Amino acid sequence: MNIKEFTKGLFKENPTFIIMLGMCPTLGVTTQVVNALGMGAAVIFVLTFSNILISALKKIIPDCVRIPCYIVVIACFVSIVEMVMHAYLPSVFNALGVYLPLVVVNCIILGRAEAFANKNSVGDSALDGLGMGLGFTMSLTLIALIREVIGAGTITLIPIGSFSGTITIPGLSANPVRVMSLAAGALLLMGLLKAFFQYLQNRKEAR
Amino acid sequence: MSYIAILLTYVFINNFILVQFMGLCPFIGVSKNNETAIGMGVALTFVTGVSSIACWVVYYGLLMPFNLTYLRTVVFILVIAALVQLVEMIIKKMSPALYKALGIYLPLITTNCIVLGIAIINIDKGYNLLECFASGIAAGLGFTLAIILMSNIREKIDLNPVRKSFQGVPIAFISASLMALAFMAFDKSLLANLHLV
Amino acid sequence: MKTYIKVALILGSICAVSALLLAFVNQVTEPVIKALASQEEIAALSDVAAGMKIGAKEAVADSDLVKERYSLGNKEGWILKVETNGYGGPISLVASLLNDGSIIAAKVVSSSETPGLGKKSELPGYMDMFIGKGASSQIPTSKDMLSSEDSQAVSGASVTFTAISKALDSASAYVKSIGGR
Repeated sequence: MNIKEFTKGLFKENPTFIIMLGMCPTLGVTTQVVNALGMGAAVIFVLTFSNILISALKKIIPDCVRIPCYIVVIACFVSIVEMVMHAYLPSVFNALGVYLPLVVVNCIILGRAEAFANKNSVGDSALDGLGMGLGFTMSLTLIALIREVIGAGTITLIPIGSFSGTITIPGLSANPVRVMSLAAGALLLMGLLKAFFQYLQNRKEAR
Repeated sequence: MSYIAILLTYVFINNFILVQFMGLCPFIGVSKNNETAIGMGVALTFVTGVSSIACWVVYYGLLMPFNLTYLRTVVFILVIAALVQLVEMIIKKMSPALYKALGIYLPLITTNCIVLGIAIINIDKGYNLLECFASGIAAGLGFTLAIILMSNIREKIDLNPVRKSFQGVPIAFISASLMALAFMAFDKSLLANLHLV
Repeated sequence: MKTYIKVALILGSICAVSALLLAFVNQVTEPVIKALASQEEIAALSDVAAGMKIGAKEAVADSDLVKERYSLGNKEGWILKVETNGYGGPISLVASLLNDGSIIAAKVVSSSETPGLGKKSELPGYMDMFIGKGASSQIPTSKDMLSSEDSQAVSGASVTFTAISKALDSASAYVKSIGGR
C-alpha cells in the first residue's frame, strides 16, 4: 500500500484538469453543486470497486477479452448506483438524467482499469480509485460552484433539517449572468480553468 | 414527432457536443486537422445509426418481454462493443481502402458517450424503430458538423499567435464556447415556427 | 479450440455473476422506487387539491397533452395531469380546475429546464399568474397578455412559459369539453 497512489489523483494527476478525461459529465451536470456532488459520489463508488475487482481478477481475465470484461464489471457497478440512487436519492437521480448511465463510458474509469488496476495490487488499486474519484469530485464541485454562483446566483446543496438546501447570494440572484448555466458558459469556463492550470505548470517549469 | 423534426433536433437544437457535451473527448482530441475530423465523423455516424437500431431491437425484443429492463446499461454497452468490433471486421474484409481511412477511429468509438447516449435517449423518449434510426443518424451528423467546423477553426488558430497558457486545449474550448453561443440561436421555437411540433 | 472455450467461459461467467448481482439489487430497490413514485404523485395531487377530496385515477386518451384525470371534491372540478415539452425536455404538471375551466392551482412536478431560467417554474408563486383564469378571462398564452411584472418574471425563459401556458390552456379546454357531466 502506498499513500502516494491516493494523493496523486487529487492534484498532480487530477483527472479533469491535468489528464483531461471524462469531460462529458464534467460539463453536463455542473449546473448545480448538488448534481456535481451526486455525480462525484457515483464515480468514486464505481471507480473504487471496479479497480478493486479488476485488480483482483487480473490473473483470471484472459488478455484478449480484457476490455469487454472491464466494461461488464464497470457497467454492473454503474447499474447498481443507478438503481440505488433512483430509490434513495430520486431528486439527484432525475437531475443527472442520461449522464448517470453514461458513467459506463467515462474514460476515467476504463482508463484507470487499463492503466493501473490490471498492473497493481488490490490495495494500491483501491487507493488509486479513491484518489482519482475524489480528484474528479473536487474539480466537478469547483466548476459547479463557479457556474451556479455566477449563472444563477445560488448554491444548491442537500437539504438537511430546517435548511432548505439552497443558499441565495444577494444581488447576484436577481441579475445572474445566465450564459454561465448554459452550454457556452460551461465550455468557456473549462477553457479558462485549463489555461490557468497550464499557466501554473509553465511557471513551475520555468523555475 | 416527424423525422425532419428529429433530424433538426439532434443536429442543431440539441447538438450532442455543443449543447449536451457528449463526445467531448474525441471532439477535442481528433479535431486538430480537417481530414481526421471528417473520418471520425463518418465512422461515428455509421456506428450510431446501426447501434441505435440494434439497441432498440434488443430492448424491445429481449429485455422488455422478460422484464429485465434493469440490465439496460450492461446490455447496451455490450451490444455496442460487439457491434463496433463486427463493423471493424466487416469493413476490413469488404473494403480495405475504407478500413485504412476509418480503422483507427473505430476502437475509440466504443467509449464515445454519443453512441450509448443516443441509445438510452431513444428508449427514454419512446421512439419507434425508424425514429430511432433517424435520431441515431442525426446524432452522428450533429457530431460531424461540429467537429468539421472545429477542425477548420483550429487549423486557422494554428497560424496565429496564441499566449502560451492558452495554447492547445484551452483555446479549443474557448472556440467551442463561441460556437455553442452561436448554436443557441437554434431552440425549440425553430420547430414551432416550421410547424413541426 | 480449448483456449476459446476457456475465454468464453470466463467472459460468460463474469456476465452471469453481474446479471445475478443486478437482479438482487433490483429486487431490493424496485419496491422502494415504486412506493416513492406513488408517494410523490399523492403529494403533488394534495398540493393542488385545495383541501378537497381526490377521486380515483382515470386515464385520458382523447387529448394531446392531458394524460390523466382525477375528480375533485363533490364533482366540483378535476385534477389533471398534463405533459408537455419545454426547453430542456418534457415538463409534467398537475393542475386543479373547476368545472367551468378556471384554474384553482397548478404545480410543475418534474422538468429538466435550465436552472435559474426555466427551472424557476417549479418555484412557488410562478403559477399565480394563471390562477382564476380560464373561465371568463383567458389564460395568458403569450407574454403580451401578462402584466409587466409577470412578464419580467418569465423573461429569458419564454419557451418554458409558452409550454406551461399552452398545457394549462389545453387543460382548461379539456375540462370545458367534458364539463356539465
